[in-house]
Amino acid sequence: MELKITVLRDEFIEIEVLKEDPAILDSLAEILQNIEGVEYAGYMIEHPLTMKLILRVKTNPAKITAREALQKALNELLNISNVLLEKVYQI
Amino acid sequence: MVDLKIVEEDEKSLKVEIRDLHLSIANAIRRLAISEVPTMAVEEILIIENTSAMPNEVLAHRISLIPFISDIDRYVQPEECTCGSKLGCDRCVVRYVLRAEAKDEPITVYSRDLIPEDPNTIVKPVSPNIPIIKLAPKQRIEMELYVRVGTGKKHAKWQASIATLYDKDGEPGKKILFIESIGFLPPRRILLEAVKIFKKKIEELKEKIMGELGG
Ligand SMILES: [Zn+2]
Repeated sequence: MELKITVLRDEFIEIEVLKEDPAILDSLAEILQNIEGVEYAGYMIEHPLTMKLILRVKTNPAKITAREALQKALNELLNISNVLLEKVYQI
Repeated sequence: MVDLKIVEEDEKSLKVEIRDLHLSIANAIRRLAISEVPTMAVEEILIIENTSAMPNEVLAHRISLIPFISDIDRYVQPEECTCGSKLGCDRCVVRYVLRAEAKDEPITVYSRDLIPEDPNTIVKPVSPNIPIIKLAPKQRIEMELYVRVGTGKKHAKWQASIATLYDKDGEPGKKILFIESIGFLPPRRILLEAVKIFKKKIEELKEKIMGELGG
């Protein structure tokens, strides 16, 4: 995975990701969408040949900054992965 | 919180009921079970002799499509191996030889005719009965095969499974993840590896985003 933050503002962050499965960013986007104060979260595949992925997060900065939303979503996603792995070991 | 339950299982396939998990995460697990769970297949072939009717590259391609029972606890992908050698070491390559010759009658060469360099290896073709080539009288093949770890995204010959995800009939909120192994690994192991890979990717994503954000 190669990653670069291309826009960084209080209410908006754009991240370019290379060499990664889009489903990973899709998971992050879905978690972001459920966070209070997030107005938009989504990703696109810029071109299927380069597989450059672009993740965009837009928030209402009075409620939460884009940076805080990302941090929160990543922590939550990692928690879910940990629980999921535990459950898979149990079945 | 997320809950998993096995609803059907046999030696080749697995049906898992998933509750309280985001659709996007369940889908990521499905995709990783197809394209990123490591398995083992022939990656390189050294052809010493081939007097058969089949061209070298066609024969090599046929052999590369044979799934091998995969020991992914011992073997790693060549790019991840510490040896850095192009030939590989005992952690990244399993060597096989294939020698066959038709004397006076035509013969069929099968996957069981592949001979491992180490007779005790557990890495072997999933079935002994896969036909590779027919040889006419006096035709002969001799080659060395290098079996390595790879993933479906690198080449479809390494694809670990077929996986589908769908809603459970009449039970809202419940999903079924169906994994059918190609034979390299047991279906439970494929599920476990897919989840491990997912977690590793999320850790990497978090580390990289936090690193870029500075804090
Ligand atoms: Zn090695």
